[in-house]
Amino acid sequence: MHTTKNIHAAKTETSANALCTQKADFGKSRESLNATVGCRSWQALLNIFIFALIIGGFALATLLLPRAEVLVSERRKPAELPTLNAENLTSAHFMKGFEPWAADAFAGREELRGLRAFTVFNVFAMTDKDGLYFGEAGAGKFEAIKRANFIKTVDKVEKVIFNLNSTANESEMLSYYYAIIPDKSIYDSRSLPGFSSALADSLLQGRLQGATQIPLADALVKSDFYRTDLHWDQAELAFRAQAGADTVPTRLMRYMGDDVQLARMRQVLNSASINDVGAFSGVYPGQLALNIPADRLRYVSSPVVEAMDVSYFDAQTETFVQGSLYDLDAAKGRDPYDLFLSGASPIIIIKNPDAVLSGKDDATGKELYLFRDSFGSSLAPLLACGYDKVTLIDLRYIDYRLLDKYIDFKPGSDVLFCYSSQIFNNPTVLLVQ
Amino acid sequence: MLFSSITFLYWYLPVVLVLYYIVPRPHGSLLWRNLLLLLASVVFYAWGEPLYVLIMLGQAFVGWGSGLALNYLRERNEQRCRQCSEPPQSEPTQSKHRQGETSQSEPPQSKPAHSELLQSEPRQNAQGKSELLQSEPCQNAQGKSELLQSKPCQNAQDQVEHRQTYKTAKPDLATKVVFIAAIVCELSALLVFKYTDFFLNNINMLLQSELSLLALALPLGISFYSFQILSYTIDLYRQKVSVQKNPLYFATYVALFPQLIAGPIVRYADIAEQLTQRKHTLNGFANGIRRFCVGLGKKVLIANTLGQLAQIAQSAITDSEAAIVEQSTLFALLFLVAFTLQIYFDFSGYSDMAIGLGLMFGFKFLENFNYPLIAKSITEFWRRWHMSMSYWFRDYVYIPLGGNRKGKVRHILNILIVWMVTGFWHGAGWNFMGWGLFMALFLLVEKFVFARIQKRIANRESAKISDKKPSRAHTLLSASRVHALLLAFVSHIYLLFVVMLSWILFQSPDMQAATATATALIGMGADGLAGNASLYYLRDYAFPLIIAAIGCTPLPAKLVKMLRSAAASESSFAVVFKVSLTAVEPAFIATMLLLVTAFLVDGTFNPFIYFRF
Repeated sequence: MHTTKNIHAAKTETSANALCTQKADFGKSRESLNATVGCRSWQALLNIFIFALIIGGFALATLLLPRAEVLVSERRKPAELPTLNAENLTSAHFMKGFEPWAADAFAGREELRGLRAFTVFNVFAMTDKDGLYFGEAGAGKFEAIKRANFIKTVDKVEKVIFNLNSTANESEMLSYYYAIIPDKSIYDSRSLPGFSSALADSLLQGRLQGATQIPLADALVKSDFYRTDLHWDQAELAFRAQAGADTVPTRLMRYMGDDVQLARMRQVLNSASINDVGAFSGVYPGQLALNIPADRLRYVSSPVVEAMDVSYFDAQTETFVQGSLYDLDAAKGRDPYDLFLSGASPIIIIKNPDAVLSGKDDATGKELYLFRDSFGSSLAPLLACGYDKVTLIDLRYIDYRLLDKYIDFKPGSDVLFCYSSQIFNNPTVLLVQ
Repeated sequence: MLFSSITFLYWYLPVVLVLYYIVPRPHGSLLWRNLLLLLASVVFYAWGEPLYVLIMLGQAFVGWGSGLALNYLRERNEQRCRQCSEPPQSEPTQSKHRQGETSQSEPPQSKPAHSELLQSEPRQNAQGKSELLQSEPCQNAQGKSELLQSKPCQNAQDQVEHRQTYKTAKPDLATKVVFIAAIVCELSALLVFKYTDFFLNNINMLLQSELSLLALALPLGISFYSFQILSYTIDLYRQKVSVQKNPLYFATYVALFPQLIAGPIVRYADIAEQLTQRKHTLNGFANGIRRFCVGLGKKVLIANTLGQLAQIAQSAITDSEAAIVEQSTLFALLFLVAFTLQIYFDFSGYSDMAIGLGLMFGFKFLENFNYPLIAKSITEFWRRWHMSMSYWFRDYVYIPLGGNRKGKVRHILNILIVWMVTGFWHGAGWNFMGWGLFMALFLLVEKFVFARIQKRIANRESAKISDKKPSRAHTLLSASRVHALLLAFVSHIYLLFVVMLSWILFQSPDMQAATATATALIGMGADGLAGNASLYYLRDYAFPLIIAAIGCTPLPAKLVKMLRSAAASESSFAVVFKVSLTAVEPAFIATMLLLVTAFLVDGTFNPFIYFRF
């Protein structure tokens, strides 16, 4: 009400000034003063209008517009508003939960996130935002090694090895290997402050002595990774292997297998075809709120690969159920990378019928137990070409003490711990106490 | 609740503004509007501290009650004097200036003492009393928005009037007892919540005892509102302000949400009149919006951005468990530069928002910052940085201690005490006390060494010039100007270096971290001068650092001033400038609001350094 009065007063003032300036006997300075006062009133009105428009507009739009059930680009559900009750009010739980809810429910959230990304990358000329960067290898997240966490993860791996050894006798010993998948920032020529292989090696000095380290950093190049996601592109690994390069699957096989296994793998890879599922935009464009051209989601196929027998462990029924190597339905879902082995699962067994059933001379009878994260999903089909059976174990979803219950470890087999730098930085995700 | 939050900007503020301006003002009374402001302030505070709001209101009640008691005792005292037909125990205001008066009951009228702490120009010491009272605030307000220029002078005049009006009788014993009890009560919450664990820790360490700590969470803004209440009680005791009998108005003063949590420390004397009579104008509201948006931008766009760099750099140097570990000189420098700019933009941005919000509700708060990073000495720096706190300590601690009136040794001691207390106010830790003493050390050096050297040089040069022939004198004058420029440059570098060094003590969680930072700074860290990570972050944050470095100088304000002058001129281009200005301001407001909202919606890094004080 009072504002209206003020506005009215200001308008009157402006008109009066205008009238005054029309009078010829006023000097120039007086005219100038009046014009300035009038101008200021208009200026003030305009400023208030803009302020009210933006604050009021967004507030009303947030109140009136329907709320998104899922924040698609960020691949998460929006924060929920805590229940309004006395307990939540006195403990400030309601208030603490209000801001995240208000931010997630804010009208035009996506556009505003884009505005922030534009400001950070184009106006401030920065190359990273909230630990996410956009570099030569596309978008990524800095995964610099956190020393204490890294050591804890190594401790957990040692514990698993100790547990596996304790149930086997001397002649039944398994062969242990480990490999760290580096963050793709190391392939950026600008020395991004991400993963450091040298630091990892120094921290591993004197650790995991019963296991062989397989270096992967020099077996990868930046084009092996999706530009929009943290994972590697299975098709790219296969392409480079076809060209004779020592890529991740061949590197691993050279360390773990023999010449026969390596030859089998190369044979399958050389005859493999690449199937294109469609455009694939990984996790980073959404997290960065940047428009990054999508990658292609592709998978490697061949008669041998297609004949592989895949069974998934169903935690509900505690049984193994049949599945497929490539889940084309999952590729259309929220995380298209679930194309590979349908995403996360505690145990998956891949049998290579080409080796087991055909009775060919190149059947090795060797098995691989692959302790893995999501990178392993796209790697396992390639590794399975060189083994009779590959068992994928994801310790993020099964306690290591339960492994004996569901898996019969075959003496003389290979055990590979293949984790990305993200897992090494987050030891708590591994169910190893 | 933070000003820089979606909750405040898009839920709290619009609701409070709309309600405030639709509340009626019967016969021009601000009672209902003040009541609304009080309720809104309680909600604002309770949003972060639902239970501690009772402490804040309790403190306000104590302040109001003790004010009534002091006023009653003073009136009784005066009445008794009159009844006894004796001349009241009073004296003319001027007589209080006689040398050697040190009683705490006396007002801080000795201007030279004021100047010793915060003013460097000796010329001002010779000025008259009223001029002196107003000189400093006026100077500090200069260069700020037009609306704010006149207020400090007005306040100074008010103070003089108050003094003349209310200073009539010396306090009796009962008044003194009530006054001391009030001060103790008003300080008790601050002492209990902020300092108990510090003292217990030190007792445990000294006596090898195991006294259990209270581990109380610090109520938000307790250091600020406690000081505001204290200023009222002390000023009332000194008879510089009149009593506030209306508890609603007093609670509104204490709880007023724009300045509740992080200042400026608004003295009752500065706001008393505005509580009952304040103007709500279109221009005032618009200026408030502009100032608020400037503050938002400083806080969210610059301080938060550089805060991330400061955090990365500090943890790289001091935390061996951090993702990035690099103990290099470059990272130490990056930390100190980024933190210096972060804390400036963070705190001055918050003060801008507070002042802007005050204007929107018709209040005019004093300025709290005046481009401190362009200062050329620590003395000048503290005349420009967190001015409301500096003046508080000057008027309520330094002057009552005797200022510079009790000899050199006592003067030095007083400065050390004041700065130790200032450090302690910032945090209950030895590092904060060390930080305060570090500042005091440089203030003393400037006062007793640099000032004399400078004076001697100036005298010698003026003597040289006056002795020479005109042509030779001209050459010497030019050389003198070059010398002055060089001196200004070196002084500025010295100031920045000392201020940045001081943050090592201020911001380090422990002495080990402080040592690590200092070691890295001098190139003795494990990674020498620079490493990959520090070089990357230097490149990455180069532009925000440049923006901040320009933004902390008066250059942007000067540019706007130039535009305004051009628009007001009679040149043929004036219209162009007028139109540009008319378009620039709303565009600036819209851009700030949109960018800040974007950063708030998407970002999670939004700390506020002065919250912990």
